[in-house]
Amino acid sequence: MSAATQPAGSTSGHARHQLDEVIHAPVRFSIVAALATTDEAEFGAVRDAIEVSDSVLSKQVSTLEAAGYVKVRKGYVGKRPRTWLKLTRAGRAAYERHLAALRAIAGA
Amino acid sequence: MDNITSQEARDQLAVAQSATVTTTHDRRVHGLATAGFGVAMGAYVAIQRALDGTGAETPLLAVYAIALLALVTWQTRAARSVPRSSRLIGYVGLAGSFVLMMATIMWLNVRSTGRLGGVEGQPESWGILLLAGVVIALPMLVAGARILRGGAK
Repeated sequence: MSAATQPAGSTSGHARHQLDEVIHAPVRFSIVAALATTDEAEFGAVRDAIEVSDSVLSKQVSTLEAAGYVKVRKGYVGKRPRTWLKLTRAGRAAYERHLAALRAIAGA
Repeated sequence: MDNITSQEARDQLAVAQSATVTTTHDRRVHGLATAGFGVAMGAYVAIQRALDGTGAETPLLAVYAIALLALVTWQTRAARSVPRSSRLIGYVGLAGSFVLMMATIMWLNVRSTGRLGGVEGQPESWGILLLAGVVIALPMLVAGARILRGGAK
């Protein structure tokens, strides 16, 4: 599922049209960028890394999950509940396309 | 989104470049746990061969299982993130250690029949058993070191 303004792989138009609307929002971009450096990370670790509140992270993760970019896994470590976040293959691909578009714009 | 400037794009790329969740602590936990699994495998095979026929195999197996469980528990609790590609590196190391474990066991079995420098009916020397343990542990030790250093970025 891609939220890009043009179909993936399209070569026409300005690079800004290749930017992904879901990832482009600043907090979501930070979440995806952080998750791209890991296989999986705890909700709390992502929250601390990008310096947002639980509610903000939760809301933005829901949007990313709905787009199919992030997978949320709930479990326990001992008796403590834990939530783990992971970038899906589609999310990683969308992030790479988004970065490529940013590089094209930055170099323009 | 249509009016993003080249400066804004550069700023976003800088954010992406500096973004990270994984800490040195997380990397150390996963690296040491991976190496620990290899050491446990190597030690188990070596000690099991040394204790062969003494009746201590079952308690040794229990100690081995507890050691693996303790490692998994520590790894899960101590780390807040899984470094990129560390699982893949760990699985490759595990596969390597498993293959070498099977080869080492076959080699020790052949030696126990009096071939390949072994003496039939005689227990293996600690030097040979230590070598066997190190060979088995090696792939996971290498994998652990790679995870510790940063792995495939």
